[in-house]
Amino acid sequence: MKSVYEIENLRKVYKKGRKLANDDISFDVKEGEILSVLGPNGAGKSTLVKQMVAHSRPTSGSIFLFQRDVIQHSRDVSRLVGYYAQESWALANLTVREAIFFTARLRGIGKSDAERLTGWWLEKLSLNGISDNMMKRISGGQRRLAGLAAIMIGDPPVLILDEPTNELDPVKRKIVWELVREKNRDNGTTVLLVTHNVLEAEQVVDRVAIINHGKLQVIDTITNLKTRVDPRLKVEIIVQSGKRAEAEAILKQWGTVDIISENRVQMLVGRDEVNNLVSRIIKNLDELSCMEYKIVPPSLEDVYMKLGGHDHDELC
Amino acid sequence: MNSVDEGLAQTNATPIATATLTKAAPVPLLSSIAASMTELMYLLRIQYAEVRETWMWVIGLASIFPFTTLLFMKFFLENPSPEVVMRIVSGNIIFPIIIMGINGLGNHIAWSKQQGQFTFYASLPISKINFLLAFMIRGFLMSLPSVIIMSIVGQVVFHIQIHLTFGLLPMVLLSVAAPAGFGILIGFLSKNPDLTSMITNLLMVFLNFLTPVMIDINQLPKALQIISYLFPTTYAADGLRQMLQGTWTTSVTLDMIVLMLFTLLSFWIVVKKMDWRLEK
Repeated sequence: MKSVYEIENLRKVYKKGRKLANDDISFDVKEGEILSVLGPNGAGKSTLVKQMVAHSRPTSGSIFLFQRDVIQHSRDVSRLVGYYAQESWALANLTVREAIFFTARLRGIGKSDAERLTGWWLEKLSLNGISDNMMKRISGGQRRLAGLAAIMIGDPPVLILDEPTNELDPVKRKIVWELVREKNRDNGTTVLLVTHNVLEAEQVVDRVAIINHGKLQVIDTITNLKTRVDPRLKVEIIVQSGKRAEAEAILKQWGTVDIISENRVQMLVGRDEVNNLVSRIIKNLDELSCMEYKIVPPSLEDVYMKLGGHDHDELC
Repeated sequence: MNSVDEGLAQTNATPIATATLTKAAPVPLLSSIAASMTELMYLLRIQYAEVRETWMWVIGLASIFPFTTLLFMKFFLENPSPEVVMRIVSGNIIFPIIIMGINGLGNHIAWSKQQGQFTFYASLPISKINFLLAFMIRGFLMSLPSVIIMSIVGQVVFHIQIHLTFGLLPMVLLSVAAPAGFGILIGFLSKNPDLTSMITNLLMVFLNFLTPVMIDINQLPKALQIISYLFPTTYAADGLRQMLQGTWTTSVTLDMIVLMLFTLLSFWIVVKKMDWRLEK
């Protein structure tokens, strides 16, 4: 698979050498993949992204987009990459329709195509009812959707979305994720996604890069990362109120029990042991006062907590 | 097929996800100019959108300061000579240019930078020259109505006869363009909006009262005379005063040339020396 972006030994130092924002980062973004960049606040994600769209010059190292240096070809980057950073106040005084249409025209799309595509995006994102309202007078969520339409119009081959679902309600978040999936599936759009919403990102992304303290901690597919972190399955058991201690005493005979809450406990077991454990639980449902049990595979959140948090050193 | 499906079908007709950065085929000159004009038009429409609800207020407020000064001069001076009157009127025409061209534009650009608006523009494949031209034209259009208002008010208050000649047109254009370029430069170079605001407010007072905008250059101390030559408003005030009297002398031509150089220089500095896509 061809690489869209090639990042080599990227280093970014701010404040006259006092703050190291990115430290020796190297990775590729493959054509047609959805790659998520995860990391805590201040980890250096946005700095990395700004350099990738040529809005910030690396202190050292290089970034190539389609084999060309992004700093030397910054206008080409703006032509090929749809970059969603934040709510843009540059569009605040335009109506929703104008914001999408003007951006399309500034992206070089012909007038009739821009009009057609603007209509399509307004309908697609259910913005028709507010198309003549000024951007500054619509809700934050609607403004984000309109901003996304403005950067996606014309289908640039690469999308870089920095926190696209921040402050969105669940319905609008779903719309955004479906849109990302759709563009990737139907157009082969390469997507780099910076998000804090790990649970939702898991449903969309192919690979994950975790950044912390300016360093790339790990980059791999979700499946591989889960295996690396902890391949065991979680068996969660919810017991009747006040019966946890008795249930815990029984469960301890079969393995280690973690207490999650007053009525909820959890056991971690290998895939080959899970059937045995579940059989035991089913046989002892009454003794355990078990109301509900479920088997949960490791999630991307587990991976993130392990690799993006304090104890990443032990795994990297 | 509903319109969403139809649109999707059409947008999918030519997937471009596999685009690569190959060298673009040469674009015919006329097409390139037309594309550039279209780009500039939409950038201007975004600029216009920012003032479409408030432009009357902005122009009114920009006229109040020089209008007040003009009235003050009228009440303060007893029987001023025609030359002094013409200097006061032309000086008060420069006043809104300083307010809108230097103060207004400088602060607008500084705030735009602060709000992250340049991130949006930098994400688009637009030319830097058009981006700057849009700001300059905005400054020009916002200054012009106040210039016209002050010309009319000047005639009414001091009963002077302003000579409307063809030469007045390029003079006014350059008188507005050069300070606008100066404002752009300040806006781009300044580190933050607060600093820009302080610089432009200081400049406004300095240019109006300590450079030969409303007074003769010979009335100023030598040091201020020398400093005055560094600002476009000195040449704008001198050229405009003479043109309003209907005289186009060599000195007016020189003023125009210097104003043109100021405009080009400020534009050149911003275009060549600043990589607007890159944050500092």
